[in-house]
Amino acid sequence: MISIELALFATLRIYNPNGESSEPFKMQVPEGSTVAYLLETLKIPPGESKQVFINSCRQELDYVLQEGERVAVFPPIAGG
Amino acid sequence: MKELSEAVKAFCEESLSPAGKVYLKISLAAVRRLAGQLSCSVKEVEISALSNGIVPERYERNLGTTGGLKGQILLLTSRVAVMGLGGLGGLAAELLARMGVGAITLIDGDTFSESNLNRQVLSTEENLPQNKADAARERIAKINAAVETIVFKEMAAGHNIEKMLQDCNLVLDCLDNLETRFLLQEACQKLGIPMVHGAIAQFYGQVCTIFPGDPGLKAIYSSFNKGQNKGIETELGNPATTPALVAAWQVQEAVKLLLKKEELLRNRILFIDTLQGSCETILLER
Repeated sequence: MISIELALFATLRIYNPNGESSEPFKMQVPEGSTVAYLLETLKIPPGESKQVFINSCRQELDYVLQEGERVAVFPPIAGG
Repeated sequence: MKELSEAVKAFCEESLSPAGKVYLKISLAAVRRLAGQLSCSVKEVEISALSNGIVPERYERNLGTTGGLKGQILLLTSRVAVMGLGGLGGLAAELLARMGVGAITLIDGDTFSESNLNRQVLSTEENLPQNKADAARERIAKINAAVETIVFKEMAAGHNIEKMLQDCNLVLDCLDNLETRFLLQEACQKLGIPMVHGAIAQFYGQVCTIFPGDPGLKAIYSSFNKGQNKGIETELGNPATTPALVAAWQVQEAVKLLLKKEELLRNRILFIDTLQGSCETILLER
């Protein structure tokens, strides 16, 4: 297992397993886990709009998570 | 213009700043009178005053932010485009005019409708369904006669966008759809000018300053959402408050850019969460 730090922002805060919050929390995932696997574990529906930043860089669903990485998930906002 | 220089000196008066400092000021009435008498623009009179160490009274409270008279001259001699004059752009245009940005290009082909009244500060019960760029021009004319405006009452598209942004020092992205936002970034890249991106949805907002060559929107919006032209705002709505917050922050970035301040929201995005009561800045890949 590896340990990552995760924060779920805005509307995605409801998927925080520790209760609705955008505060960062630590999470263990199996080595070799992808972003897609993480989102699935968090029960974020595939249809939910989101973008994932790992250590400040936006990454795609097939990105393989590494020990100690900081993961931030945001919904896209585009209103004016 | 020597005549103008002498005239502003003759019309200035001593005043005391709130901090108790003596300075020379010129009133709006005097500026208007000189512009009329000498057949020049209000902006020319104000620039001449500032160049002679005289503060147009209307900018007195700006000077701490502009870093003095030279900074105010920089703002007065700049042109900023506001693309989209709805929730973000309407307020942004007004704030730019109040700061004394001397030329503003106003771009929006849309007209006001009832559903705009909750947040778009330029819309009123009386001016439905006025064109938004026209309403911005009228509002600015009431606020600051020094500001020259150019109005485009059409939506930006591939064929017209570069023409719209001519001679601009920077652009505020106050749009409401991803397609035109990306088009704007491309145009800014070609023209070599920075843009300040702003977007909102419900309790949330974001701001990012993008220079030519920066990944900008490409680093923000994920390909997960390919084909989507909008964000979560379509479901969650746009209240009165978050557009005002984000527009104000965009204008502050614009002012910092014009004043050549270095600590910009560049290659990082500010994410404002008013529900959680927090702001995050996320670094973006260079």
